[in-house]
Amino acid sequence: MNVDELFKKGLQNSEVNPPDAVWDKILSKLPQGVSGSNNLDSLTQTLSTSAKVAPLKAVAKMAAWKIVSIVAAVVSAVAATVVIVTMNMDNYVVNENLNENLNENLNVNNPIEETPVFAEVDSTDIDNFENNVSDGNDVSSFDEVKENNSSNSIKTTDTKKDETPLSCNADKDKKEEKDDVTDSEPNLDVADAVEKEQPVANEPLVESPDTLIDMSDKTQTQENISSSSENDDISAEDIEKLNELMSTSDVDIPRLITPNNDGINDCWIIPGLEKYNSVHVVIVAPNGKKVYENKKYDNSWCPTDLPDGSYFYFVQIRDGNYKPKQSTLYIKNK
Amino acid sequence: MSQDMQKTIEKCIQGDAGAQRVLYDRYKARFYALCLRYSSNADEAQDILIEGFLKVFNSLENYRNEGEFEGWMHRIFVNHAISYMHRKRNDVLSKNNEREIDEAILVDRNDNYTTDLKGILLHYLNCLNPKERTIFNMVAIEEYSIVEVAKELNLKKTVVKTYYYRARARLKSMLQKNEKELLREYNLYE
Repeated sequence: MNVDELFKKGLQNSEVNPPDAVWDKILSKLPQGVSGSNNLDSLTQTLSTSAKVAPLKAVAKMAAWKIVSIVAAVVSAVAATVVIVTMNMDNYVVNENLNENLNENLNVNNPIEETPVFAEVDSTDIDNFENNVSDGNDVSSFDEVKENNSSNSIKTTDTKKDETPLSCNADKDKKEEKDDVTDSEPNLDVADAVEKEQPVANEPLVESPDTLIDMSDKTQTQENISSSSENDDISAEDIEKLNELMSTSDVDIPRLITPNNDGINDCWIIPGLEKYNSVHVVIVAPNGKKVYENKKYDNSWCPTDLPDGSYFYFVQIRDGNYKPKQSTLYIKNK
Repeated sequence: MSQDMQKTIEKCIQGDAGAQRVLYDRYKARFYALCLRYSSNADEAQDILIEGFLKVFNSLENYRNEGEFEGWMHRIFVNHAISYMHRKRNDVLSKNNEREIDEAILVDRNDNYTTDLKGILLHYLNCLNPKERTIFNMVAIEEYSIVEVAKELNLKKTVVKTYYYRARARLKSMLQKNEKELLREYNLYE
């Protein structure tokens, strides 16, 4: 049976429908109406420019209205004179009087036309303008948009926070760096490797990911020994040193198994075991009886009928020049 | 890529909620299955799915019609799953001893996806530790090469290989335990 193929066949193109709540969560975090931060920026820009322009436009509008009204007054006055002239062609005196009146009117009107309109707008029509504005939809809708915009920007910063929690991760980053260091550790430099591996081995159990990687580094060196053609830089001397290192250093053998048939820790699995051709394994019960022996162990020991307690194991890798390893193994049937 | 899809993507870029929903509906099942493979329980998978889709929607503008759209999304999801598990690895849960994690997994076993063969395989996959799982996923199911995985995870080639073999051995031993059952039900190992 090929594990790879089984899993590939079973899971490669599988489809599982997520719960409906997922979409709601996505929707709540999506900035609505705009999809990217760039669009948001441009929106705020247009908003700010329109905010600057809008009052100016209103003032200009008011000024225009003023001028139009004045012009209208003048035109109506002129029209009145024309009408009166045509109606009363005979009465020159009256006409002249009227003309004089009109001229006076015009004289009165003209200065108004020339006076700075903005001053008047400022003093008298501002209130009007404000009323207009507060009645109209322009400004209120603008406020709304602005509000929406600000809430959107808050949302986006929130999601950003979610994605990259920077503040609380200082120690985590350090740990990762440490991982990287162990990962990128050159395996040629044996002296360095010894120095570095010793303190890691002494560290408490909490640091298990590191020790795991550490372990994999060791197996990796083992692989380099077995297939030296892959890495031609290693000299025979180095290999000897590595062998020594391997034989003295700890292989990561599990100390606890729980054979309760739940698929987890049921079997006694020595990581990296498949690298070796023959590994001799003996398990001894507390009373000195041998309960298991296999000269080519293949991670297949899953005891089901043993009582809880500490057992002794004895592991010898026969491929190379390794020291046998023995220690205790705790079995706990839950 | 079909024209429909192109239009939908353009609408999504403009922020059309309807188009976003269409896109989500089209890909949710595929990528939820992917998230389930990379996580150790359904909650984590949903987290990855949500964040992954947000990432997709926010970076749709950068999609340049080069290559398949699905492949592009797939890359985003795999990358996000990796970074998510990386974050998770240093969380409180992973610092507790293994037994508590085992119990957490057992609780999840009652989820409805454990009933069929896929569910069982998925459950075994979820039992692996994150690093083994990620690497097994990438190598065996996603069919990345060892070199690619090593580059992606910033690990050495040999380290990746070790994790991969270890994951395979563990899955195999778990499978062998239930071999008879599986054999009877699914007639798998002829």
